Amino acid sequence: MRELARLLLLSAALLAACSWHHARTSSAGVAACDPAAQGAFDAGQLVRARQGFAAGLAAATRAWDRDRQEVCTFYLGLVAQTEARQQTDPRQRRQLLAEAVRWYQTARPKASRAPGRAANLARVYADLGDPARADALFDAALARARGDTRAALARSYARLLEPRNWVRSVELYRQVLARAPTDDDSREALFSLLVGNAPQELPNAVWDAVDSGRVLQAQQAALHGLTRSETSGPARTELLAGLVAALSQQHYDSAGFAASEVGLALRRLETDPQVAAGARQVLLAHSANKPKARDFKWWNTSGTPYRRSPLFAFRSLLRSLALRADQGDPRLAKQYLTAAADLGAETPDTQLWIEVAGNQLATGDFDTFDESVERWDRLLQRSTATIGREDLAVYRQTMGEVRERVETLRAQAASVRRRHGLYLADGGCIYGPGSCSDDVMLRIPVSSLPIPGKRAVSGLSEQTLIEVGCRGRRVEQLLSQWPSVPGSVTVRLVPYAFQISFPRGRRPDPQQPTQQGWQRVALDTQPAWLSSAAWTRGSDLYLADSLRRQLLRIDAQGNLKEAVPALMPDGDDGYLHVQRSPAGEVVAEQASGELELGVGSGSSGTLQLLGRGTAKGEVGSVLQWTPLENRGILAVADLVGKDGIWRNAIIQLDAAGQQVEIVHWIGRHGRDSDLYRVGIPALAAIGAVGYFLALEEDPIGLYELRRGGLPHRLSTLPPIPGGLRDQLHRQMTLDRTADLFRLLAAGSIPAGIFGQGDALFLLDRHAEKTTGRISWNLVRLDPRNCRRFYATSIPTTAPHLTAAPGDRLWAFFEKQVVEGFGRQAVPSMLLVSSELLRATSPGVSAPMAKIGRPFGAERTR
Amino acid sequence: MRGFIAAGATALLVLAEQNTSVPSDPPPTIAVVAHLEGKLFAALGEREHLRLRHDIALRFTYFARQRLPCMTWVEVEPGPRAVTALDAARATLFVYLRQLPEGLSSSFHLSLSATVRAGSPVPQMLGGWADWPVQSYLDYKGHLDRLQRSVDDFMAAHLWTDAFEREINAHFIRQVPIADRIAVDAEHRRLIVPLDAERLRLADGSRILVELTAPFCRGNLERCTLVLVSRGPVYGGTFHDQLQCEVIERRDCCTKETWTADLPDQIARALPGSVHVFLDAAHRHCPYGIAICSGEDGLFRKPSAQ
Repeated sequence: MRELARLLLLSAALLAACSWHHARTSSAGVAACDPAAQGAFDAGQLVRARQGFAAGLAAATRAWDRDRQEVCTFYLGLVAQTEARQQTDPRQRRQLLAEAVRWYQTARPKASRAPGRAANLARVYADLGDPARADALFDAALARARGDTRAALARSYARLLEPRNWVRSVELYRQVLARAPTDDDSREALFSLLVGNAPQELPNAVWDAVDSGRVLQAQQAALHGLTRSETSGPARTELLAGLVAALSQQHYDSAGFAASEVGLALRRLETDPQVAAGARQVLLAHSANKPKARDFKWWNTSGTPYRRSPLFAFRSLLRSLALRADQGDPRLAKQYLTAAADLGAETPDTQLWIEVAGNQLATGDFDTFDESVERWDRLLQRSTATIGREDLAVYRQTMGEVRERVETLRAQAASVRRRHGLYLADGGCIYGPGSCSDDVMLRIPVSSLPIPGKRAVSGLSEQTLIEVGCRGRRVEQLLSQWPSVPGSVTVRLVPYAFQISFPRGRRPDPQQPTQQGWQRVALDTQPAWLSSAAWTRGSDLYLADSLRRQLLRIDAQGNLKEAVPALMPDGDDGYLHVQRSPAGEVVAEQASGELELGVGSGSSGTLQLLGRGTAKGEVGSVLQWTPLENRGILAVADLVGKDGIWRNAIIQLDAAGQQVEIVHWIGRHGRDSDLYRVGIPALAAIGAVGYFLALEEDPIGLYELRRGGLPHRLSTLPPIPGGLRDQLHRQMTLDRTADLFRLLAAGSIPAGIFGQGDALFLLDRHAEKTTGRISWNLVRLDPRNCRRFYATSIPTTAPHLTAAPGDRLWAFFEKQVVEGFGRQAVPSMLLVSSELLRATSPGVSAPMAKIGRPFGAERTR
Repeated sequence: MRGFIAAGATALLVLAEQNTSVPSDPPPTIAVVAHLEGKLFAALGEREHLRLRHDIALRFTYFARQRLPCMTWVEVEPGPRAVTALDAARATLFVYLRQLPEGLSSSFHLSLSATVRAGSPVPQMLGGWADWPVQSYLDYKGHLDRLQRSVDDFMAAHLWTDAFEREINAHFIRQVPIADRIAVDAEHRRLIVPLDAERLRLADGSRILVELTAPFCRGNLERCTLVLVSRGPVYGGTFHDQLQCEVIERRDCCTKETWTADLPDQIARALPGSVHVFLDAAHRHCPYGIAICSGEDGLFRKPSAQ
């Protein structure tokens, strides 16, 4: 009995093993013929493959393995067919095809639903000049097949039919796409057939593609169709509509649209007698500041179905442009939505109306909302167009909700007296009744900024226009030789009467929301020129406004707490830069070149940077500096040699300021020092160890400097794009400041290094070439070898950032486009915990990359 | 009887010997995490908030599995297990749903950003690259289902376009290694990507990039990219069901030759940890199962299932 049990057990094990073996050597339920032959076939070794499959067939026949026999005959047919395709001699080719037929027929194609057997054999028949037989085989196989198998067969058949029966081929491709809308090859083939044979049918296929989300394909096909002279009549209009519908589903930069592939193609169509106006109006929609329905009359053509009409397509485009224009200000979107609603105003579009109503609600345009809803309801009652029941229900529900909101807001508005901000010359803004809103700005000419005490020898004042209003004040225009305005002496005194005072509770809206772990805080102060910022030991920040030469102390909520000095300074007083030392004290640079240590802490000391002698000349000015441990300083300096030539170098000063040592030569004053001058923070410290970016080098090197040692190059950053340095140098004049910073923002140049605690960070700005979209990363580096530990994406697209590292928080000030010297808005700052950036928090969920290799291979000295 | 048992055991060993195929590696796991930002979401209860996040990640994953089958997509449910799931993933894709602006009327914007774990040759963080307007916001508060339906509809109808796929392939899929090793079938001059070809569903001719540091010329270690094209699954043998590829180009290498006799040895001597296999951004998937996918020449290379 026990023996019997063992026997049964063994049998079961053997069966299982055989079954496993079968499964391992077959795929998707198909038995393998001969793995070695298969490998040879895949590698194109057809002779070896033929031998192997023949041996496999013999073995299968001996073993009465019918499945394997069929697979082997299939492969023998495939080998013969492949050989025939490579054969140039017609007679031998025919022989091989005939052999392929024999093998495939042995594989019983008619009894099988497998697409491979039928499709390959049909192709052999076609190659043998017997298309009727190929068709019959395909038709029979299609009739038997279902689902994906049928689609695969239909696809193969459609491809075979392309040259001789495009009508049937198109029909088959349509069937394929109905089953597999993402089969891009089939859609491509369909478009190609329609363009060449039936251009009037192309628009519908383009719309099908749009509806299936293949918008790029639809766009390409529409453009292709429009370039062909065979496409005429209404088909051209419909194709342009399809193209616009495809555009409306895409996300792209409207500002760069005219230069895009589609934009250029539309420009070429501006001479097309049939669609010129339509093409022009699409371009206009992307560039217009105040689009109006009357500008887009060409598109006011509805049709049946409405959802494939030019009107619907263009309205969709305007809706998508509205959403992109909005970016936090619904007034920007209003123009587009109103234009879309007014275009073909009698044609209902409930989804569009919902968006218009939402916009009217957001912009407080309640009276227009009432009128609109009344009109839309009337139109719906008399409209003959079919509107889906569900669409109608959504429309009714939404309008009811909007109406409810409008009524609530009206009631609130009636109970609150409107308040206006009013700027007073003696102390900022107050709120109260009156006709002044907080958008009102006073323009005041101010003499001689940034050095008010200095007068030009010519007798002409160096003057500046300053805008002053409830949102702060900013330098409007710097005019180096502006004739004195009568009474300007009196006016000159005006700034001294201005104590910086900003309204509370009325802040600019942050431009973008922030992601988890990050907090965007609006600033109620607007520094004229934010050069740097540093955290205090508490949770406040000092902002250095190098134009007004004041330090603005703000809290983490963005509220101004004090300005130091309180009044705009005269002469060489005031501050230019501020930094936080490794020990946590705030160090500020005065315009006189003196560093004030321990700002705000009461334990102050000073260290004069200028005038110190080195072996190569006297320190004439300082471009950048960073505090080291024990109050040492690393600085980028202008050195004036005895020969009168200005040179740049990185210098190190000890705490007492007695020893000044040149640690790195930059070169002669000029092109080499440009990147230091534009404010890229090139210096950082971890304790007593300094780090610097050699910005004049190409590619830029990152150096470590230990006390008493020579600088040690740790790594190399990616090279700066060719020619950029020259371009920057050409813009290094005051009147070209805007162009200079535009170049910097677009240049993908390292944006600075920072030390915080024992960690070193590289701030990296990347500008996308095509869209110009800017992204920022803060990369944590291993200070020993500059390997990248972590990279954290900073959720901003601001063109410029000023970073302030802190023990608990980092602040990133989002600086907008520089419109001119002293003209740069800083609407907000981003706050993020230092732990997140150091990736020390285990539950951290912000985007973070762990990157485990150095970014530069070079390691010298 | 003992003899019979011994014979049976021998047969088992023989069968086992014949099937020494190397198991395929699993494709890389991508964790999908949804984040919500905006006052509307902040007003939701914690449970609703978590549910909505989970549903968004789930919905995104559903589409990703269909359209980007070369990765294992898993939605990460917010909570204590999330950290473990994120640690196990090769990369994380963050789906942000933002309410913008936070006013009376606003839109939802969907954007993505991603991180790739160590081993990626991409030195910089992937940023968010797409904002997708969803639908004007009126009042979803207290109507979570409506909000969810709105997001679902958007994803189904507008998000997964070919334009989006092009972006995600170029900016994300291209950056995530699908394997960290490559095998060589020297006899047939093929490189084998050790993944299940059926699962990858790559169309014939799709490009694959192998980045590695190996002694290609004169014994010096050199970082180089081998450009491969996929040639479908291997049937039988050591690499059964894995993806076989042909070398068509050596990029940034000391030699331009495609296949050389010493290539297998050079690959075997590659610097440990330096091998990463990537899908080219322009790769294509077979719209059906690989078994019924015809090759570039229009021929079916497999008889296929009955």
